[in-house]
Amino acid sequence: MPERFRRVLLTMGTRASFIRLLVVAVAIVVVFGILNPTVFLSGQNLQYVELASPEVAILSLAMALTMLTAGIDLSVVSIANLSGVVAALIMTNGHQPPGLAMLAAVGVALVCGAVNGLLVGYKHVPPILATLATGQLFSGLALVASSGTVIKGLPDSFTRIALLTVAGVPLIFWVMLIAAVIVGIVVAKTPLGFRMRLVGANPTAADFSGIRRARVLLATYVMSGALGGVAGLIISARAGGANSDYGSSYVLLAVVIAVLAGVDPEGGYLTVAGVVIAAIAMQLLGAGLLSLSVSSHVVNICQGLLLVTMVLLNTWGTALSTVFPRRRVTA
Amino acid sequence: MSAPIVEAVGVSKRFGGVQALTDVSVAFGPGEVHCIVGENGCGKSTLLKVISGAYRPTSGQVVVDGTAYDHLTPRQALSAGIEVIYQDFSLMPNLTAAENIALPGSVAGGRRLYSRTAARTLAERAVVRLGVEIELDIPVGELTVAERQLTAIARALAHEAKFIAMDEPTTALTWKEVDALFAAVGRLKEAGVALAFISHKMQEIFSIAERVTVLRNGAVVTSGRPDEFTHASLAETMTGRGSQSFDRVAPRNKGRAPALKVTGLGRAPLFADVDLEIGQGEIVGLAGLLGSGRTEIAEAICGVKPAQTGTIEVLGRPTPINALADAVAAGIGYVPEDRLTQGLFLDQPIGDNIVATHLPARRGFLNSRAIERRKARVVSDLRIKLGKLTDPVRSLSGGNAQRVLLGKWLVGEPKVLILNGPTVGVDVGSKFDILGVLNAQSLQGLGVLIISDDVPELISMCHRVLVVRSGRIVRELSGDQLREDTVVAAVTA
Repeated sequence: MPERFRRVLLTMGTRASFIRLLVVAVAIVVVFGILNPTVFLSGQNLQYVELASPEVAILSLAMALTMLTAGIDLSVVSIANLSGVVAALIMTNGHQPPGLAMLAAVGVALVCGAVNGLLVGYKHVPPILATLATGQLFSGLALVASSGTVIKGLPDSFTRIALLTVAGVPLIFWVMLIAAVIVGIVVAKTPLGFRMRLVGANPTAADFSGIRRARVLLATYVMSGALGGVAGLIISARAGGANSDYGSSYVLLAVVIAVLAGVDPEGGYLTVAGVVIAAIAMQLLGAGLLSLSVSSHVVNICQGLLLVTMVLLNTWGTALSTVFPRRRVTA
Repeated sequence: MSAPIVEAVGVSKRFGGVQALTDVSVAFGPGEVHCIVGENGCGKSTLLKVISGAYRPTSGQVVVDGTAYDHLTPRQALSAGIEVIYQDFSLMPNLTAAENIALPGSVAGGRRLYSRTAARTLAERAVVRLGVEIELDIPVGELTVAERQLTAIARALAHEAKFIAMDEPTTALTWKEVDALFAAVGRLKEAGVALAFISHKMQEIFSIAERVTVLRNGAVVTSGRPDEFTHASLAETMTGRGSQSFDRVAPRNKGRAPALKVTGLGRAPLFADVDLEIGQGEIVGLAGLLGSGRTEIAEAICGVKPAQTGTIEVLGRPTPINALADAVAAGIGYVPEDRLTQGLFLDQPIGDNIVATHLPARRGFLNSRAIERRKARVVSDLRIKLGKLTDPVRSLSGGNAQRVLLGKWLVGEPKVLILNGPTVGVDVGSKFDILGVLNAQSLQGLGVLIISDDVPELISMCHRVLVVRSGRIVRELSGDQLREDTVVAAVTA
């Protein structure tokens, strides 16, 4: 069924950059597999990647969603931290069960997302400014709520979430896959996702097509916020605590991963599979370098180099595809 | 004719498997207006791009001032005084008109510092030469399409060009502005500038051209003085088909609620007290100068910029309209003025553009089978020529892109369709097809409101023409009154 296969690829995004990304991910595995097979290919190392990828991937999905609408969500990590802090407070000070705490955390994340959506959609504040400002606001709220400390003493029933495995794969990795599938379905299979893409591609034409742009943007930022909330819960389950400024470098990492995946920051294109693979590839690269006992600062340098290389390749890719138009694969 | 300033000799151009130009030879003499005409996709724009050095011809040469180039570079072309004004004007929207006019010259001149007053003087001089008024100190992005067009022309004038090619320069201009442009063209002719004009409008071709060259499928079909052609023979040469005209059938309105009834519509200070009625199956024209309020009235009816006062009824049912989405739900469609920025998602697939407004969904999910059916139906009904439905709309010619836009609305089976400049930038063949589609739809009961500068088009299409002046409907012309001279007189009075 080649036609069916092609359709599946189309929903995943068959851009040249996507294929290149796969090549890079495989290359990372092969290179480090050869350089240090005993450590890099060990079950322990792979499990580290499986445990470290979900939070980054989910934050990147949130970022990619807003980028689909030609926006950006710089507040997503602050939302994650605020949700984590709220959940932690409910569990420790409030002595409530984790289930309730998690619901409350996602609720807070939804509200935060709605604030972003109202500013961007209804008040026409440029997304980069709106989310930069609300990011500060949410961080500040988390800081006040947590009194500037790490909230510890989370119940085992909550932190165990980070350790559970289903079919040999960590539960939180499944959560990431489920989040990716949901985002993929929303983007590719629902009117909302279709409109998000059009709003990103040309907001004026969206207005002249009878698309209620403000509503679409509100929904986008609410979704982004919700993903941030889920990421926040994973982060605090893994860390065994919650803090107002955990993983502040994740904001840029999420942007980097989305761009690596081939998501167009100018809107109109998203590949969910690409985002997940890019997030895992970043973690593989980090784990691989650590397996060679390289300092963590060098890891940052290498991740930066990878981004620059991929961006260059993407630029060359477009140049090449105009020379050899037949080889171009478009989504 | 004296020695040509620019000449294309035996130019051919291939793009992959597409032969865009075949052995085209055209000469542009000093002080001569040379109209290049033909349907979209006939190779006019490619020819311009070869002459301006943007494309390298597969074979053939461009001769500039007696020097033959196998491959003219854009820089060589510019320094030789070759200026091309494309349909998108290539202006920088965030700079002021004065800066847009003056900057390219000072950049090319290698000047490091920018002097606001010098730029301003240069720009003013160009605008005065063009004989028009442009707000020089506000960003170009805030100017109307017509003003942007004039800015682009003024920029070419400011560069002391020897050869100016204009790709459909008058599409967005009103009669008054066209007259001003033609007067400026006259002065350029006296100064010995060679001019190439790409146009679809017959009237213009005959009023301004010294020479007409017709391209079809990338080859020169014929070339001659305009008095060797008639309107009909020229149209026939362009399309390769016989000329056609519409049979206007009077709508049967008796006993049927009007498709659209607007009462007392107003939005200060743009328009006020607008009453209009469009019967089912009726085609009504809305004529007026740019700035008369005609676009604003249309945008109010369809909710893009809602009115403050007044009522709107669709098929006799009062419908409050506060957003375009309300209008869509009520069965009103709107084909906007600026196809490229307002109408279409240029980089998105053709198919997705078709279903952008009327998107079949079932229980919250896209109904992909219905979506594909709709796409296929629009493509076959409107005879859209395309490669694949997944190609971006950008790959289509103007006429086909406009059909996509039209199809996007017709697929929702609206009761009323409002079109703003439906055939601007559309070739003769497609124009006829588009008007034909509207005619056919109106016979099935669709009420149509057309806003257009093209008076012959309004007269051939419309049952009635309403004239807008200063935000009010001042006249209604129908039957025997519906003639070119009466409409022009009413609009410009």
